[in-house]
Amino acid sequence: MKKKLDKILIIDDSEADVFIMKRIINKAEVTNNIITAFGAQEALEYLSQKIEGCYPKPNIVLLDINMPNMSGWEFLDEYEKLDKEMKAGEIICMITTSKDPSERDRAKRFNIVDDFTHKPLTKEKLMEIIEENFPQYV
Amino acid sequence: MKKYLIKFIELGIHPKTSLERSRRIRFANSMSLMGILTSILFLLIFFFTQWSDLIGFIIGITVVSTFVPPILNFYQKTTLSRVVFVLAAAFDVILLTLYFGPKLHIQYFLFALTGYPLILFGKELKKWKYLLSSLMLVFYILLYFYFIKNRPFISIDVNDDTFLLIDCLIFLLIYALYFFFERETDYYSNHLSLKTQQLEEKNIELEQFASIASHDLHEPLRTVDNFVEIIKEEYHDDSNENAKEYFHFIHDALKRMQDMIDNLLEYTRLGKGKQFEVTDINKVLDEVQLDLHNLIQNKKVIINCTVMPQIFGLKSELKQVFQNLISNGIKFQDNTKPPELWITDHYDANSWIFCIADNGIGIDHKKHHEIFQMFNKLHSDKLYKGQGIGLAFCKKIIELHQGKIWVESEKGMGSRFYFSINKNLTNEEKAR
Repeated sequence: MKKKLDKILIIDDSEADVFIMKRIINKAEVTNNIITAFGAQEALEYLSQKIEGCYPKPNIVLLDINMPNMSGWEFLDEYEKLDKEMKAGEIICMITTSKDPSERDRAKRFNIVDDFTHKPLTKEKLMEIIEENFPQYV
Repeated sequence: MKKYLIKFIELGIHPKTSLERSRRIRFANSMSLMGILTSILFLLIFFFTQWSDLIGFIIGITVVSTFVPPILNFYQKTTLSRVVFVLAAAFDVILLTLYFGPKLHIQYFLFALTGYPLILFGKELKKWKYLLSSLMLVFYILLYFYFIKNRPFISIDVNDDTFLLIDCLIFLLIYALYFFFERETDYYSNHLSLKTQQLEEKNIELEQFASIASHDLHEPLRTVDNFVEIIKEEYHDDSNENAKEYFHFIHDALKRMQDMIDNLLEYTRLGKGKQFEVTDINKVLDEVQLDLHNLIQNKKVIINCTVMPQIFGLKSELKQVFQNLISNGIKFQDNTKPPELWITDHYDANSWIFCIADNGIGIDHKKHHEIFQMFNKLHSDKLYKGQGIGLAFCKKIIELHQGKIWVESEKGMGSRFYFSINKNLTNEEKAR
């Protein structure tokens, strides 16, 4: 029996997309705890609030770039300013529909962005991310 | 005061008057104003020096005649007004010279008048304006010979000051001529550059619109695709033949739309952030033939190619153009003979011109423009598969190279695609 991830945070304004990602993650059985934030602001609040004395610190954050109000880029700017102990797990994964190569370059400029993948998320892509970043869980 | 002056200068111009025409009308009005002021000044000079009713009458005629062109302008007879303006000015000068004699130097005003027709008329008078212009010299010569035998109608005492004053007036008139001409040209070119700027802004807006639209269209499309997939997974069993067919159609349509959006996005990004570089067309053609190797082998294509130049351009985009045109030449065939292509080049002072000719099915004369439009296809998918984007891409790429693309073809006679590339491309200009 493989070990499961503690928490995965999904930041995406589209309910449909969240539904699909949740479904993939559930099917892959990599975690029992999926948290969704329907906006960047909501995600930041979640990350900086203690629950039972400690910060949530999810293992993986799946971040959508194209969001109204506060985009994924703006989230990353704010995220970099967070306390070290608030910062989420090892990886932030950018999920975006965009096929624009310039967006990929922009993502690379953030040190905190560990991986970059296109929507839609598939089971294969998810497993790849986990294999690369959490070998002990596979 | 200024308001009335502007109103006077704008006489005869309405919002629909072309920029070019209004420039000439404004010029005529400005010079008329100059003429009016000059004749009134004459009137005053003689009033205070040696007034007689005849002098008053003669100068009065000139004042009245200079008023005629603006009045004609007011009634929208703008071309007539300018002809009258030139003739009236010449008439005034000749009249004054005949009366006061050559000693006053009034005939020298004819020099300045030579320039009027050239500046005042565009294509309205065709070559007559040059004739009108040289007429002033003829008048001058006629006056000269007239005064060899005849005396002026009025003999007046001329002192040195009057000489100087009239010479200065001629100076002033020529100065005004240059001044107004320069000002109107400035006004004209400012207007033009403003228009160009607006056009460029609109163009950028349009490009952004296409880019944003195709970007945002992706998301809902993907959602539909995902949920169709989910429905298929959860509710579909393979025994239902109808459902299988429906899913096939849905997937097909989704795929097509996805491809179209992708292409649109790619189209808007063509050449973005790229730099012109020295590109060896021979190498480009080698690469294209390598990429199309299988196709060329299978269809036994013959490609005839001369030695090509090195040019300055966008390397990978140019390859795309050649690849599209060559594979079109191979594709649009009736399969009764092996496809044969001829790739040639020539050049003139400003551009390289390339030609890709084939022995294919040809293109109906009426369709020669249509084929370069996005998503435009002349044949059904069953006959020749494709999305109808290749030539639209080519067109945009060639336009990035400040060139043109066109076709010469008749149905059943093969096609010759030509495109030109500007020889003097610079990266600085492209960045703008």
